[in-house]
Amino acid sequence: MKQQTLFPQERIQFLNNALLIENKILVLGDLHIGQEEIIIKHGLAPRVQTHEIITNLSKIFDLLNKKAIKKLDKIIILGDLKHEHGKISEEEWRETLYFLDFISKKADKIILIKGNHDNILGPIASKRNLQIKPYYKYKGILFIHGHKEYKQLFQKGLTQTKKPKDKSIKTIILGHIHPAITLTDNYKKEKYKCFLYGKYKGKTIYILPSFNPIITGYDLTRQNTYNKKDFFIIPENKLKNFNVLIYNKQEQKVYDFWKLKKYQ
Amino acid sequence: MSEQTYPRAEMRKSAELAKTLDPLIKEWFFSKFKEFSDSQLYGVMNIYERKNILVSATTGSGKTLTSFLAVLNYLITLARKNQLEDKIYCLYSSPLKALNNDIYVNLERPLKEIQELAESKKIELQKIRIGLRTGDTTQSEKTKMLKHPPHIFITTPESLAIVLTSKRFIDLFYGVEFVIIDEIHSLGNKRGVYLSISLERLETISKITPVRIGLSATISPLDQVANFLVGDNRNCLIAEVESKKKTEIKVLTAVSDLIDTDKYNLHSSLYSLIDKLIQEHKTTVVFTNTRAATERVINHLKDMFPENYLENIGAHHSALSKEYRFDIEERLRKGELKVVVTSTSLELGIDIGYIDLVILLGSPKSSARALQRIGRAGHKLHDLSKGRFIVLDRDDLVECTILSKEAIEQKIDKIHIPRNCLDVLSQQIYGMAIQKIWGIDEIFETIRKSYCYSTLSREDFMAVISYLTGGYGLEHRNVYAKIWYDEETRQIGKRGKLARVIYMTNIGTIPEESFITVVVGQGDGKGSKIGVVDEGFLEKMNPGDVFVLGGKKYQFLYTKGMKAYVKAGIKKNPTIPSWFSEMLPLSFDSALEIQRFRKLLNEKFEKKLGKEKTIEWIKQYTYCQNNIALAIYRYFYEQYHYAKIPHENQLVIEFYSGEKNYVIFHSLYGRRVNDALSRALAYLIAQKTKKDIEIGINDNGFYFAGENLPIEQALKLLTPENLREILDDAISKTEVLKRRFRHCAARSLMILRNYKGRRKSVGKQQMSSFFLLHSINKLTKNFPILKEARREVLEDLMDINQAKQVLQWIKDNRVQLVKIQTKVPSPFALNLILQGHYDIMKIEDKIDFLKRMHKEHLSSIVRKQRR
Repeated sequence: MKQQTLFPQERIQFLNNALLIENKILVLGDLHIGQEEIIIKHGLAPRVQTHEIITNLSKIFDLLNKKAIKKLDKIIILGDLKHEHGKISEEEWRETLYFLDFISKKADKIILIKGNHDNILGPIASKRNLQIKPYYKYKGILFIHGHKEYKQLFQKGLTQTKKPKDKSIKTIILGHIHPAITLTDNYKKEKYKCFLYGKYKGKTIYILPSFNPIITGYDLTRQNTYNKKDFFIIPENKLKNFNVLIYNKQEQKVYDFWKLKKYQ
Repeated sequence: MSEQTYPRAEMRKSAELAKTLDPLIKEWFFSKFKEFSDSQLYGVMNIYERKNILVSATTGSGKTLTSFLAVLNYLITLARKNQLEDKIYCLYSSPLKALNNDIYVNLERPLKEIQELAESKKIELQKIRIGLRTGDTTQSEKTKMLKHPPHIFITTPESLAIVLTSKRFIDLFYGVEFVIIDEIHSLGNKRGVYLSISLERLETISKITPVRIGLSATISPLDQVANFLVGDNRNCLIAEVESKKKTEIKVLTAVSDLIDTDKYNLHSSLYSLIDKLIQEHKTTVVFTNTRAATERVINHLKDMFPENYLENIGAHHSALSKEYRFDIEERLRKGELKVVVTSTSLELGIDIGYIDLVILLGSPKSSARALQRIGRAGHKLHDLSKGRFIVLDRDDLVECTILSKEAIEQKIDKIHIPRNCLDVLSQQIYGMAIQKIWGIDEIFETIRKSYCYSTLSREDFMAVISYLTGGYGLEHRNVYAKIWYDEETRQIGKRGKLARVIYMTNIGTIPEESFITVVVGQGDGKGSKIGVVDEGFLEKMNPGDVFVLGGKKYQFLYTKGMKAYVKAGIKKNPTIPSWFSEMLPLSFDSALEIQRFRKLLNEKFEKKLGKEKTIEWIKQYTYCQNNIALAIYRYFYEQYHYAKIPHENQLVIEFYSGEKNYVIFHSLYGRRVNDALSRALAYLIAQKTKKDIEIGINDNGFYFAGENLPIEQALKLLTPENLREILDDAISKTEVLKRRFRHCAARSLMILRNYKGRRKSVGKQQMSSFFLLHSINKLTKNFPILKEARREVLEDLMDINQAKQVLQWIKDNRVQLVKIQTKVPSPFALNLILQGHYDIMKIEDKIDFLKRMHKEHLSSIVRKQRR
């Protein structure tokens, strides 16, 4: 068992349900702040998710402290920071700003990647002088949400050509699909959020789970099709060969469960 | 809590009643009927004298006319004197829309006849108006009612709640004099709870205290139902009308030996027997308990006897469309059908015409239900009710035999009326706040007058107020509060402009169960729709499970949205019984009757009475035929000699090692009690072993399976006192609590099914409730709606109170625990092991499970590499 060889790029580490790059960049997957809002709209329920996201983040910062990392260079939000597509409610404004202010204290720079839910993130971001980027590149790593390909990057799209245009890209980190799987011993079953890790078109791919604790993820073992075509820039049949990685918070390490297709 | 008792009404003299009636009514009545029925002699005078009364009588005894005779009489005397006001004099509520339509027609006709009679005598009579308001009533009809208020207003509990918040309608209720609650025996549920508050609300609106009239089929305990009808601190009379209807009840088996007959023979003999019975009678109704069985019976009858069944056979169950069901009822009334096969839906209410035979295929699970079903035969008062139980296996044989004994002796099991339901309370308080501004004490006092809330604590009440005013909000805001409460003035009122709309479009207590469409997901016939299963059933399934639908076997693959994808053409045996989610539980009272029978029969064996005499005794005790007595004798004989007969004073615990270790509790207390007992014990065991444990439950007992089962320790830890506490923990992570929470959240309007005319799918509601539960779990265990979901699971779904009773009996040594070891499961254990539904008590921590799964994953790889 040579699990170590699976991750040649030791500069990318798993940390809770996030990624830490070179001990100075933290990457968070789909947060969907405000998801609660549409759900409890006009009903009555306590709002807890931002609170929980921050609790979880604090745990990460505690871990970083132990590693003597006091301040990060960057925090990258991998798209879908907030949930609502349409009008921004007062609540969402407040919660999103609260969250952004919290993370701003923890890093020199905040990078917001545009997701499919982020059509109207502009006003909020500009309020804090933050830019929203369609994608972001850093030393051979491409950060992108995953719902859309960009012509600048991929000649006819990642799925169309053999080689992407930008040859400097070795690794791609994405979000968007909120991966999760159900493990069962034919006796009981439990659902876990997971990372997906694999190779596609010669690139190393990491897919992050949602960082929102209330979102339990899209169960790839039960719902094995995307909602619609072109839902994700990596085709479904390719994902099957990706490795399923589940993070154990207790032991602070990631378990490799091998190929996704084993569970489908 | 002391049980209230009420005086019994006496039968009044026919002459006295005749004298009281207005001459017009009297003439009309005797042109239609020869004499007053018993229930009229019991009821009409008392209603005339404005005394609250509960009339309990069998179907077809003229109950409904009893109540309306007094009301019509009063209205006609007013109409003669031109003194009829524009107001509602009488409110009639029944839980069935169809029944309301019947009542409407059945009132319009006599009123027309009386009017004609008056005209022929040149008597001036004001017109008496009848209004019908159900979910189907159109806007123009509603407007018409407001212009010309009906004197008799016919409605359902839900529509009543709506009119009670409608300003213009409330004005018509200022002087209600009669309230009639029909089919009260079917209100032992949240609809009944809901109605009980509506009646108290009506009481605060009406300046006259209306007389309350309850109409019920045979029901028990009558005092409790009377209490439910009139609420706290009011008088009531109870009229127990003796049934004059003769019943002829028999238990039948299709084969002489239920254990040694092979499946094929059993099957063909069964349908031959059913066919024979149907052919011997004019019209038959077959009750099957489940929807799936309904379809199966029809298909088999058509297949085996194609010449007998073509257009003259029909199905009637709740998954069929309203139009289809209506058509079947219509054809049944017209006598066009030879046989109707139904699950449970034809049990209640509406007139279904002439039926001369009722077949009960499988146990009806309670004597009240047995009588109700058999009573559908010979609907008219003096007809003969013919009922035939057909039993399918040996436990069924014993159960049905005892149920038929109870039915013959007219012993009725007790109804369960839920109390202090906080979700219904939330909805009602919201409605009340929409109606007007209330003082908080006034609202509390009004609610406590309902029987269902007479023991409501101030604490729970304030918790609901707090929820509705937006308390419990974790952070700071109460944006979505539904009501306001001013602590200074101690007043309560509604919030928001849309309150009334939200209330009216989301009202009700019946949970929306969603049906999941089953679709072939791969292989032959990919994409074709097979049918539907309900949500509860799907919850039980893991990918790979095999189940039966429409007589064919399918393997469950995965779900997407509201569809379940399956593989067809499966050979493997089903892993999930398809009737699971529809199963009716055996009533506790009937269970105790069976336990008593077991004890008596056990004594016969111990006294070595001998085969002949024992069989004779069984026949006498249960009124059964020889072959039935013989079959029962054999079953008990085997159990007695191989193991021990469990009975009312002896709870046998059987230890048996097969593939796994089994511990079988022969606790015949019905599934609701067994559910509670087994979960509490399993939880205690799992706490010790830190391993999940497999549970099987049915009406006759439960079992555990696992490697290590420290039963003794668990039994020592469980007491009547700590049962609730243990169960609270044991159910906290279960699917069933989640589902019930969704229902409660919808009832308390935390999740809106309808908002601004947009309807939310059940799937979306499920999502929402998941989020809600997640956040609420973080807050407090005592959030009122979560508390209600727990109460519903423990008291309505399970039966924690009787379970507590059983534990008390064990503690007092009235029930002794007797442990035995067997090499193969004893005869009584067999069905339990084969059919008991499986569940897993989850105890293992999610992270521990992850670790274990990972270890297994690694070792499987090592194994592969070695090969």
